[in-house]
Amino acid sequence: MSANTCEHVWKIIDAKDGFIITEKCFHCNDLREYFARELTPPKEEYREGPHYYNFMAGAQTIQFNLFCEKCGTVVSLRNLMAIMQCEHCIADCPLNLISQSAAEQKIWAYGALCYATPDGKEGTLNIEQLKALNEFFNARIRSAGKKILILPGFFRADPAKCEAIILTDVGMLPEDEDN
Amino acid sequence: MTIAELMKKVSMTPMNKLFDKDITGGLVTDMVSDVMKTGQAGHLWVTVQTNKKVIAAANLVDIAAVVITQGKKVDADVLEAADKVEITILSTPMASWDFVGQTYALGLHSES
Repeated sequence: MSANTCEHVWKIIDAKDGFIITEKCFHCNDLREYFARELTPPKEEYREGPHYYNFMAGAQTIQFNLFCEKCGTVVSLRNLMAIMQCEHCIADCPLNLISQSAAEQKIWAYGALCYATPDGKEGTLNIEQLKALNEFFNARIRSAGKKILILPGFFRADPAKCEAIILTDVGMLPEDEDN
Repeated sequence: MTIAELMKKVSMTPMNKLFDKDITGGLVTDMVSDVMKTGQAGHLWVTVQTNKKVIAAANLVDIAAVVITQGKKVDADVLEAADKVEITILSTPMASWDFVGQTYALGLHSES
């Protein structure tokens, strides 16, 4: 069966546990994020060209690809950093507007955040990746009338001010010690 | 087995509205990345985490209900988020180990 006509049945393959490492150059404030598979996040300061990068944060996560069990198509998701859900922090943010509007029809919108491209631009999933990710999550659903909508992360109005729930394993512990 | 049926057999109470659904199995983890990787629609997710991320991850994979063990409290905004996406949060005083032992004995496995 050709990949074009296949009604894909996706499953996760190549799942790798690791960390999203965020580093910052203390000279120019340049931020970079990448996926690391070390058992403990790398925290050493290092120099690269004019930059001196320092560890800022590490968030445990998984990296995976999708494989169609019917036609054998593999969709690499190596550039996918994390999936996030809008917290409605900016009223006129496109992701907020879509999320609120879609929720009325039990369509739950999420954003796909990607690693920056090698030239430092905000990364994004291509249409094949977005389609596969949407098909993968929607195929799992059993609740009647419910749908998942994965949107590109660039729908966020202002990533620096975005307070979205990012699905990584960091910040999970409540601050309330009595909890 | 539905959530309501399971509640009659195992000590747990809903902390928000009860959205009764069929339970197809379960998983025990405190990591949202595990849920995205191995969680299945209809699963009961047993955890001690009470963060809003739990609801976002549970909704993404259509988890039937989340069980918070050890009687941990859950903030009102988390319960509100769970209501919105129609996922029941259940509380049990039991430790995760004991809770899973009981539900496993009732036939709920990871791939039921």
